Amino acid sequence: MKWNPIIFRFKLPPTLKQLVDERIWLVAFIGLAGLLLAYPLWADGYSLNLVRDMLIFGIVALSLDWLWGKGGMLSFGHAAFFGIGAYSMAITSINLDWGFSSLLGLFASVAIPGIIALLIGYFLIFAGVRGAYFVIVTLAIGIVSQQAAISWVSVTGGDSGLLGIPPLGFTLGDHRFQLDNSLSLYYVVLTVALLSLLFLWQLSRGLYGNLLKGIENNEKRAQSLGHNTSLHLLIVMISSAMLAGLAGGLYASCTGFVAPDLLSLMLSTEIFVWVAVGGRGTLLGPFIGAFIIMRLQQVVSSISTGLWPLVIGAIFIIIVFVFPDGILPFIRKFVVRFKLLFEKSGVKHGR
Amino acid sequence: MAAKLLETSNIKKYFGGLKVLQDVNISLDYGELLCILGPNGAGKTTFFNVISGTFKPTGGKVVFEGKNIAGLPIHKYARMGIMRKFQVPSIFDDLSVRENLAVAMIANRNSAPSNDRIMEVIDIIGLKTFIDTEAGNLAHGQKQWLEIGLAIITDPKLLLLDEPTAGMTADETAKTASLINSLRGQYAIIVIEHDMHFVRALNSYTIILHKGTNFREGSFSQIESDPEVKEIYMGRK
Amino acid sequence: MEGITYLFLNAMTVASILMVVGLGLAIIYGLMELINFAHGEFVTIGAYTLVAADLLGGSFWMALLCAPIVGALFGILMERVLIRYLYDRPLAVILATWGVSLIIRQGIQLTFGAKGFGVSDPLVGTMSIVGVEYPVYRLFLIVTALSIMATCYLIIRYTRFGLDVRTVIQDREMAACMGINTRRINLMAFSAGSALAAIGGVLIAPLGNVLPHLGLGYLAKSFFVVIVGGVGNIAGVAAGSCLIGGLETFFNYHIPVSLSQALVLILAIVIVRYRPQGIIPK
Repeated sequence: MKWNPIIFRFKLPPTLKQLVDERIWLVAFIGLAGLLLAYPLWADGYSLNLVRDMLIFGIVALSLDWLWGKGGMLSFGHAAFFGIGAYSMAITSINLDWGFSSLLGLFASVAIPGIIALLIGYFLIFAGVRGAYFVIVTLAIGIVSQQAAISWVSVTGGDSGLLGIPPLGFTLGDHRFQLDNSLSLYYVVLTVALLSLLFLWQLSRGLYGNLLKGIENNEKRAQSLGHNTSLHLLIVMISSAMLAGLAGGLYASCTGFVAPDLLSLMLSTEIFVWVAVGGRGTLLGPFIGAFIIMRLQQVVSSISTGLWPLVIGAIFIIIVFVFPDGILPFIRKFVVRFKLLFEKSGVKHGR
Repeated sequence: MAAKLLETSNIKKYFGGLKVLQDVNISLDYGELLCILGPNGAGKTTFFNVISGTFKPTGGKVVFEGKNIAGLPIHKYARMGIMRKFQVPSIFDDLSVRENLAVAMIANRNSAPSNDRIMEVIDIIGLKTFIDTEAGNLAHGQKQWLEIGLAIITDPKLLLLDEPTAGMTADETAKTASLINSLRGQYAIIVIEHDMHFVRALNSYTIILHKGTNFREGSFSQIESDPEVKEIYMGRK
Repeated sequence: MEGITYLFLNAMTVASILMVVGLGLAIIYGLMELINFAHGEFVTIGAYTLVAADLLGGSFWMALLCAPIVGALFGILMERVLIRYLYDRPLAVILATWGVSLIIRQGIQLTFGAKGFGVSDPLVGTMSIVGVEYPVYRLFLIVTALSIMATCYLIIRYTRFGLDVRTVIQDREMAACMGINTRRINLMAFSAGSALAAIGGVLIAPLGNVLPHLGLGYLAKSFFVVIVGGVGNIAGVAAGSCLIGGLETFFNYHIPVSLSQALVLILAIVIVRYRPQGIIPK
């Protein structure tokens, strides 16, 4: 396969709107990153673990945003890739008695979802399956993988899942290095989250992002210009699945257990909501969406556990009718208007 | 060697029992301009779909630079240097004019992308004041020109223009004619049209396509004075 | 020999249910080009209509009569309140119907509880057919499903309404220009599709436990039926149901249920790759 690095090197001069956008994004990113980096200074162990888990789910949401917001393909079974990653980690590290088995498990949690996405994606994307059909098939993948996790008891432990996943680390001779305290796990997860966020942002702000947007806009045009659009979309799908799998692997080793609800349809649904509420295509928004919605879930569940699915259902309808863009684009609009106002008055005063 | 750029021999395209194309033969040199005229339903767009890879012909050969290219995937056609402008403007609505051209430019690996080249093309298609406008907000004629820009930015060998003046005002049509005339000689161009006036402005070798076959060919003045061609257009019998 | 007959009859039972549910989905999809993610919940609503009838002392037959009405009413409500605002936003329809699906599922769970209900067999006993004893109810189910399919086919093929429907499937705008009230057709399609799913729900209920997420499994399966069979014709739905139902039953004899469902999914994806006419809109 020939991959043209020019896509990544060549830069267009940015427009004013893009400059404003990027500045808003960077400010939000730095603010959030700073807050999260400093958070352990005042947080207790329990809330640290809570935020760590939220960050892991934020990474999953990021991976869906990469697929849906940038690649234009909505997966309704994205928890499948997350869960398969988690189970790959669990099965590898529990069953292999080797100094590096947990690292191998982390590798498997990235590789196996990637391979599955490659197979499914090859068949779907090259057959021209897009839009609503992609949603249906990924929904089915989600349902089937959850069923497999429940009923393939000998491997997955069935409904009760798998316990006793060793923490990330390795043994070399007599030396043992393990990530088993809350603080180091928190920073590992935070690093992965920030790096993957920055990486995908950097990738999509240039010409490659334009290309993906163009494919979503008018795939036929992109094809007849000479772009192998199916291949581009396949690569996006594989990388999205790998990132979701990585998050799954981290989750498994952080919490020490896996259960079938990690690849449930409900989780897939929630991942979607995180992205949609945070702002599709913003990459940063999904993290914010995940934080807000999970917080809301805690509040609602403390009132009554049966209430949450009703609330999520209502959120779907609200998203469709009232709030189609999500939070971050909303803030952006606000800032742009404010800035224009500010600049106008600035000009007046200056002259 | 006198190899032709493009030669089609006995192109046939059937949809079930419907024979849209029967034995279409054209041949084109490097840098030549060819107009294909024909009433609606003559098979012009189908012929374009065949030589640009959207349809696989039922029979016959499409030979481009000595290779039979019928049946290759669509993106390969562009990489060989065949670029197409669709009948309905087909551009990236959410990208700016500049970004549209950049995405087109990076599709071809033979040429190095540069901002200078983008500006050059923007100049040619006359959209200098709209560089950062989202393409979806352009006027109809401007969209057509942008699409021509997408097609020429990678310096293709063959440019296929499907009714480049469809839906244009008289003023826009005249501008388009002079744009195509200015590209003449740099690229081989095939224009399909049903508008005689526009083809008159281009004044090139012309083929009349009728009921899926070459009906007449020759210089435009020959074609124009042909009584049978008039019959096809006027529907007299 | 007996084994094969059983296998065939079991496959027919599964296929029959898929046919009825899948036909409902195919009508909505074929006519309105909308994907209804709450379709499975209409199956659940049908099944719980029977549960409610049971609890209130009614009979299976009463439920079988009521369920399509209940289903159609819910369908009309949904079309009027939500769907009709979203005709030009296919993805939004998926999301909105998924939201409704979540609400209905949880609403049923809160009303009836998460525990399953067993419904008594309306037709007890077995019947001898081609050399094997087979439960009468299952035979009834197969016959009912086939007659529903036949009725729908006759309606579409030979009535004035059917002609309108076929016209809309061919070309919606043209049909509107020719004086067909496409909005009315939309509403009827949606309520008919929902009613069929609800009938499917009543038919399924006596075969096993009725649970709030009963319909969810049928959502994915009936999509496969429509996708594999090809959009827009009744014969396709029948063929798709037989293929999916047959494969699943056959695999279930040899390998665990979940694995067989995964296999059916994989097969459906492979079919899509090589025969995309089914899945790609024209």
